[in-house]
Amino acid sequence: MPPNSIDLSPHIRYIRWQGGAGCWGYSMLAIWDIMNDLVCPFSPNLSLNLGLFLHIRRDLWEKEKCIMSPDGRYHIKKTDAGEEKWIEQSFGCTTEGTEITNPDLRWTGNWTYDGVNEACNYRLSKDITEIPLTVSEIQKWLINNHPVQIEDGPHVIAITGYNNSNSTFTFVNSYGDRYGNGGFGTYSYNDISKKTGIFGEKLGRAFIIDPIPPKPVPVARIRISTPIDGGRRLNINLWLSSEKSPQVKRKIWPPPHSMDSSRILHYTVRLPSEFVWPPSPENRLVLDLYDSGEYSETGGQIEEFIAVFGEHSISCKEITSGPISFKAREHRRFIIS
Amino acid sequence: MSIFASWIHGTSIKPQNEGYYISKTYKGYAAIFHTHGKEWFHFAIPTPVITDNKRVMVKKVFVFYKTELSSKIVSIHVYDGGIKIPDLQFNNLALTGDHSTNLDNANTWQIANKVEMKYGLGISIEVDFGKSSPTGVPGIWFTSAGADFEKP
Repeated sequence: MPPNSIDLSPHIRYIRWQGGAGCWGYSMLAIWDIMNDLVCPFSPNLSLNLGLFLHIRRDLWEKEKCIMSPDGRYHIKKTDAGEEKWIEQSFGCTTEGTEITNPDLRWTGNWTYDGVNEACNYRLSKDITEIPLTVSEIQKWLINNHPVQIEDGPHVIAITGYNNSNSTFTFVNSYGDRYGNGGFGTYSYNDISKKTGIFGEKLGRAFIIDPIPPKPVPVARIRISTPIDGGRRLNINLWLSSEKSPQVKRKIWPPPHSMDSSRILHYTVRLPSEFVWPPSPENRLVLDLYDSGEYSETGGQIEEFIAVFGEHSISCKEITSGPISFKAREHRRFIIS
Repeated sequence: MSIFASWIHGTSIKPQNEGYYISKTYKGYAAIFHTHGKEWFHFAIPTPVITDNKRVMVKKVFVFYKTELSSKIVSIHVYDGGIKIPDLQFNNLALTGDHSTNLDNANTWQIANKVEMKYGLGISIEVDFGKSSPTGVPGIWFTSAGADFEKP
């Protein structure tokens, strides 16, 4: 007997904001984040930087039929047998916080050694698969831990659950967490059956993906919230570093988006590549936080800062006793040791 | 018949797969890895294959290591260049503990029929790290590796 409801939304914590375009990629990453979390909890959030860069520089992929990444690895679009492979199959996907952030560019598209080195851990096993757009088919895939990507007019979203009690499907959008209910919306079963869209007149196609289960990597998970009234996660600037490392601190947030109205950041990023697990008093992991006050004066609070590698986790002691507030234009430093 | 030994420090070891899913550090006393699942590591042992106009024969190989938590060595494969040495292939092992300072049965493998070396000795070690737990991530230390050779 199929379950009365399925809810995969607890497996997605980072609600993305797409800005002008990229809904197809952002919805796919939401699905991919969920599926990674189901098999490898605390996987870092995937980044669309590489995909967006190739969208802009399609000539690299289409004309040259390949990508030569800075580490010398060579990735072809078409094999000798004529098989076409997506970049997500051959090269993989980078994760958030590993690319250079350039405030002057909407999409940085900058290669980093960190990014190219990790991408092979996040790959799809095969091309995306189109499935029938019916209530029963979507339910079937959700029961098997496959969120479903749906074209809705000009937009694309990811369905993360269903509930027979009120005959609805829940989806996660890429309009930030002030859209709908914390970034989520619903379709009725009737909407799906009649293919009636919310963002356009008609629903289009439906897809699922098959990621290769990733290996665990050392990560930090951070949760920061700002007030409902006027709070903006874009005020928050975060740097992650290994205390004794001579490397430049890695800025992990924000990306170069200026219109994201979201108020909560619940983010999982890979630790600096030079950080040797585990954290200890002699090997401290440092999170620097600065509230710029650029968008509002509300300040916020940090609720979680935890370092995890597989099932081994170490929390920031200062925060475990409760959230810590900060004000606009305040710098705070948090340590895991 | 004379014997000579050739060793190399543990910091020379190479993991087969590079990636952030292997936490690695190299200290003066060992190369230390923490990760999950199975991974291969490789030592290249300095091998003077001909001395005094005679080809040497490998007699014993050694790997000095220390395991942490659920890690265990499950395979040892020994190569002469690109060729596996048949009598030095050990699988289905479950080697754990501290074998990083003294020779013992868990870090020494002897070949009954000595094999002439031609191209260079390689020792490959498969480690099954298992899964991490709330107390830590499984790891292994490699401090050294070597081999005894005989010269006829």
